[in-house]
Amino acid sequence: MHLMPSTHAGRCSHRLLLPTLILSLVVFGCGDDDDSAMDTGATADTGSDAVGEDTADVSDTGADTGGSGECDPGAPGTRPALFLDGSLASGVTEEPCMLTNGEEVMCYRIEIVGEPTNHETGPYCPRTIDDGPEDVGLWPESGTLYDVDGAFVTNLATFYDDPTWQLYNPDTGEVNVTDTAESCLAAAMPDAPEEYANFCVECTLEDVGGPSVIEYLIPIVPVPRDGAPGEIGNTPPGVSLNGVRIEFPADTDIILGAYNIAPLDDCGGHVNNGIGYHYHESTGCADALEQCDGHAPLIGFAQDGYPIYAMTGEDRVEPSDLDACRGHTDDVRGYHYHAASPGENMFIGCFSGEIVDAGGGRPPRR
Amino acid sequence: MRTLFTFMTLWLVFGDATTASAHSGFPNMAAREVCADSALGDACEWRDAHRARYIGTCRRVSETLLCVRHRPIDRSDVLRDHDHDTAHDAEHGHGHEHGDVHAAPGETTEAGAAWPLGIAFVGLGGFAWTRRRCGEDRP
Repeated sequence: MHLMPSTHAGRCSHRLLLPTLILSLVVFGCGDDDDSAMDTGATADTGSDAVGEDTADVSDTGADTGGSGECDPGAPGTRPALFLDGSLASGVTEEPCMLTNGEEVMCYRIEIVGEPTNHETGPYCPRTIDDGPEDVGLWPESGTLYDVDGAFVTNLATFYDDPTWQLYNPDTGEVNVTDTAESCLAAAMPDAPEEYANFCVECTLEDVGGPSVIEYLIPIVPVPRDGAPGEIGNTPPGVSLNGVRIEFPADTDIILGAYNIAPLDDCGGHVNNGIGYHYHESTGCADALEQCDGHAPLIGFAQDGYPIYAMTGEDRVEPSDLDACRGHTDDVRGYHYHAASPGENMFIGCFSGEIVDAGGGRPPRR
Repeated sequence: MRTLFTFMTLWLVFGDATTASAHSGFPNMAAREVCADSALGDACEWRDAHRARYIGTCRRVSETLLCVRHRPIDRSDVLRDHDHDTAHDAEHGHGHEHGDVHAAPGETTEAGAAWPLGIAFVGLGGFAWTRRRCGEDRP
């Protein structure tokens, strides 16, 4: 591009600098944090209108949302009355329970329906390499979430620097998807048969026989651990207010070792046999209850009874004083956790409180 | 100066094409690998594809130790290392042009961080060009 010099001396005034600076200031000034916010494409209703008021049998849970349509003032511990309408399979009851330190306390027995009450599940896998991001789910890659669209699928061999990746038929452009119940269950196994290598693995709730009711025993009054935190191991960390199991990080290395991708939907969840739909990431869909003071929204409760909030609140700044489990204390909520960022494949890192011996987060023992 | 202005404009237009590139290796392995030779509770740190730092401690999750972040993501090196990151990706053939990377709430993507700087460069380039024109027009 050749820039011709102007013949108009008047246009050469240094006052031309002013519009340039104004433009720059406007651009900088428009740098709202929302620009970087994750567009999940989810249909989550994060308003407090959906807060259940009659779903729990526990009469005095300490819950005080200030009435329908209002925000939650916040409070310590587990408050069963905050579960969203329809998210509980049965009323919340209280019973004695044994914690991992041998202490016997009272616990809430909470049974969730095992599917989200405030958003749809899926989509997960693309059907062809022409499918765009609106048709597919997400894949966490070292702190970043990627749309598993056609472009992502066709680039996998390059992306992982391994020519074995071939998730689609190069002649037809069709993606290998586990679109039957049988194939979904087979490919999701840690020792998946060789014929199920190079598949995009997706299971629907119908494939696994519908939502799985999951029960939890959560101490009514959290008991802080003495000494080291409790490791999550294979214990599902918690439960969300919208009726979904919060799961520990997905074993993506096992999935990828079989040259498979098992996308999460835009809400950070997917389905597998036995536990149905569950979250691996906090992407905003489970931010069920806004806080009156601008604190991060309430997502749910950990198995030790401490609440789990989203990573950031209105100020969009993550707390800088989190402990190893991703928890800290404030005057309103007492000790509580903050979920990790989308792409980190986790909510919390360990338990600061005692959990029930033998754990929860299992299908009910009938 | 015109060359610089042109370069900045081209960088502004095309420079973000590689911001979603991924490095080799399995996803999320960085958080596991840094704890592979560590003990439970040891401090750990890893970086994502954009050079953002994740600082935490090694916790037992599932059957392995995993670096669980407990400090805010440090993105101070993201912008400064843009050229390095792009070069690395190019060297390894990871020109993964993907326009749908999701950023965490409260986080700024590499692309997001680059735009204000690009605008500033354009502003400075325009200013310099204007001054040059003015100098040429003056007797």
